[in-house]
Amino acid sequence: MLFLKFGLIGNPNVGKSLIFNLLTGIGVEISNFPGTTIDMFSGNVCYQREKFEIVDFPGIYSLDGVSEEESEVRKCLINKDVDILIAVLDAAHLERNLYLLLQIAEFEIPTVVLLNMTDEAEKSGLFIDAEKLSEIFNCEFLKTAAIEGRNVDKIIPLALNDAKVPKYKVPYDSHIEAAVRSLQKISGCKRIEALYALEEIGDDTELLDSAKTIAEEIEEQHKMSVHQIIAANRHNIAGKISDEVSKKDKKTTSANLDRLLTRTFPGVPIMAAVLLSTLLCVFIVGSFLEETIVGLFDVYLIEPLFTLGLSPFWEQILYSLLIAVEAGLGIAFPFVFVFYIIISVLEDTGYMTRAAFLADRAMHRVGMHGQALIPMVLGFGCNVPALMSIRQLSKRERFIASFLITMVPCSARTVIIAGIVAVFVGITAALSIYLIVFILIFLTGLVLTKVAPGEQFGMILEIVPMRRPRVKQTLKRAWLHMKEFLFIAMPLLLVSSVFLGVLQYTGVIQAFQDIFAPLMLSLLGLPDYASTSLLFGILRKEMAFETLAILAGTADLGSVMTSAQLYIFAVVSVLFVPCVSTIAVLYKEMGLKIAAVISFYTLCLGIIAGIILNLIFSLV
Amino acid sequence: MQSDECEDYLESIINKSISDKKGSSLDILSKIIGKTQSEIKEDLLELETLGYIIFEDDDKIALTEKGRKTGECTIKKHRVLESFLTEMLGMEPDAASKEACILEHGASDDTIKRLKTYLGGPGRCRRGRAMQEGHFQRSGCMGIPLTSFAENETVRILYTKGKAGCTNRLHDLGVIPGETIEIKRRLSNGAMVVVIKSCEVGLSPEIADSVFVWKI
Repeated sequence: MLFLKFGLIGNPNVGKSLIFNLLTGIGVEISNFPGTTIDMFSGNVCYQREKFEIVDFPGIYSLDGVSEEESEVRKCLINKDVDILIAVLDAAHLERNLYLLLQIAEFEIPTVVLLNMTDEAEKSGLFIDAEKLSEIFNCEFLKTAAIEGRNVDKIIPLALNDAKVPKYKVPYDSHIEAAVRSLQKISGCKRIEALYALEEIGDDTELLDSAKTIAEEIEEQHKMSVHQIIAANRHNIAGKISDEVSKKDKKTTSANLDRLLTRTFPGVPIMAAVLLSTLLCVFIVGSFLEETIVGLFDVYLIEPLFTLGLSPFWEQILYSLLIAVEAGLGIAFPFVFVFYIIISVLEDTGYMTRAAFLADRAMHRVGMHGQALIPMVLGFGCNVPALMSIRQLSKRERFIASFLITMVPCSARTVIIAGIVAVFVGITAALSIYLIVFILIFLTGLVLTKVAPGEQFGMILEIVPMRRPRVKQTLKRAWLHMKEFLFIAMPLLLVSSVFLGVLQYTGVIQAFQDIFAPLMLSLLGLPDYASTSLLFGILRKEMAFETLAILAGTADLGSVMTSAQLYIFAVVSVLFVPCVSTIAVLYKEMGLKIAAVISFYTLCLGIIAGIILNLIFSLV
Repeated sequence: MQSDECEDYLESIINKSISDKKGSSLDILSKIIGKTQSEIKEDLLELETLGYIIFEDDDKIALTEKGRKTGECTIKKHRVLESFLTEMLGMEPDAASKEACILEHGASDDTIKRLKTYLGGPGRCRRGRAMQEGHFQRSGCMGIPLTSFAENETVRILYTKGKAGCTNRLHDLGVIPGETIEIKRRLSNGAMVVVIKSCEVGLSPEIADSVFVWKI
């Protein structure tokens, strides 16, 4: 039998990922779908001893949109990259979801449709006639409630045995229909290709050219863009079908928290409190876990390593590996995991979209939209997952966000600020470093809004209904994020750590120190061992602090360095090049060029800030 | 036969590309005109005697020059009226089409010509958005930006302007002319949460500013 591929498709927030998780269990791999730039989850499912692949497409509102997700999904459907589509609709918002289904039908791929969240719809008194829908679209509709697991077991058998090409054709405006007919006649293309050509979508330049002339005429006549006409036709039909098949029992007006959450007051204070307590919680729980894990590592793995009496080369390599694993599991893991659990709760309840709505105004100043709030907040925990979560932003915002997030003081940098400055210089001085960093982030944002490529669109963000989070679902979501971290960031961390280890073994690092030490002294006023510890800071940010203590020969840094030196050291290492894992993720998400530019930029920023501070301190 | 009915026939013959008087064609016509198939057959004969159509090989229908002109003229009137009703008066497209069907017979050529000029002169640019705005402003029938409304007001969308990237997303979410939206929350800077197609959508001020509406 052929190796069949299923594709899960639907609007954002319809429970697609949950269904995906339920179907695939935990055997999920994140893969770049062939020829795409965005990540799609794909996993395997076994049914009657056959293995099938399921791809979870990103949530989309439409297939003729211009966003990256929309065009990628469209490409997959055009190329028939999947054999059977499983369309997931939100029963509570049927009309808007039918709009997408009408478009899916045009691709003529065998489909089964899930009416998900039936539980929620029925609770609000909305009943949908699935049989009538099946008749209209000539394909199977299955009522599911993924949260309760209702009917989830029927999905794969239904998709395997009863998937049919949906037959519904939207009758478009007569001009559009005429244009499609004549384009089909001219170039012999399919109906859907002609339709998309009118919207300037496609690869066939000849077809696009002839479509353009016709489209101009239509737009002239209608005084609407073709997309608008087509969208209006589809919405009309979707509305009609939805009215035909749904029965509304009673109108329930539930007490709405939004009264509080989306207003400036008390919404903003609530948001500040939520974010702050998130950070605090992550910090407290995270550092507890970190201490435990790092302690165990040191005692049971790193110390025994040195007693083995291996050759210096292997000792160095193994040490680098262990350090990297320790950094990943000991530092990133606790913070990242706790963070993701909290973030998943906030996402599942629907609070995040409300916070993003409120934060839009502030984010705007630095060239981003409310949606970018979540990654920025994540950055305080660890930059790595933060950078992974910017995929949903537009290209321009991703560009800006990648710079700004890299500068957000993550928990490891907080360790430096707290461990060096707060302890030896004073709390106010420590807080002033945060201030410096925030000002620099803000200024960088201001500059980037001017130079970033692309145009800034406003925020159009669906505010998802408030829901009570479910423990299992939340943990699953957090785990899914975690897996991404473990399987993508960790290998990168291991490789780069070994690389640094080799450099150290071959003496490159020593040479580096010899070259830069005089510079460090003259420009930053720092002792020579400071440059080595800064270099270690690249591997793991708070290692800058640890190595400084080791190299200085004392944990009482106040006795060997002046307050000014400590302050400068902290500022430089906080701003200085992101850690290896961050660079690696930057490289993966944004490409070599941007990763290099950001590293270079932060390097310059750190050193320049250090030089300026050194000048100020020497003058005072 | 009344002249409106005659025009309806010609309009349908062109629109539905009817080329014979076989069962399926008669079916289509009887649905539009609202008469039985035998009545339709009689009417078609009358149209021939009036010189609008010719029967070729007994069953095939061909329009005469006169018939084509009359039919096309009616179609043109229909389109102009329809776009006036939807765009200027904010009617639902379906209702507008039905209304236009009735009005098209009574409106004189001059009225249609003037309406057409009123709807917008030549020289509009491609991708229509900027043009829509100018066209509404010229006609003095400008909608009001969504941002000027307060919470809990319900408004009807007239048009949207702006770059393809964001208007497309708006269209996909249901922000299209004729739809109604309810403003659920409005912040002091103009950012809003609106309810469209029973979904809540947050809009930043510049997006809300690009949606032009009428109060209903």
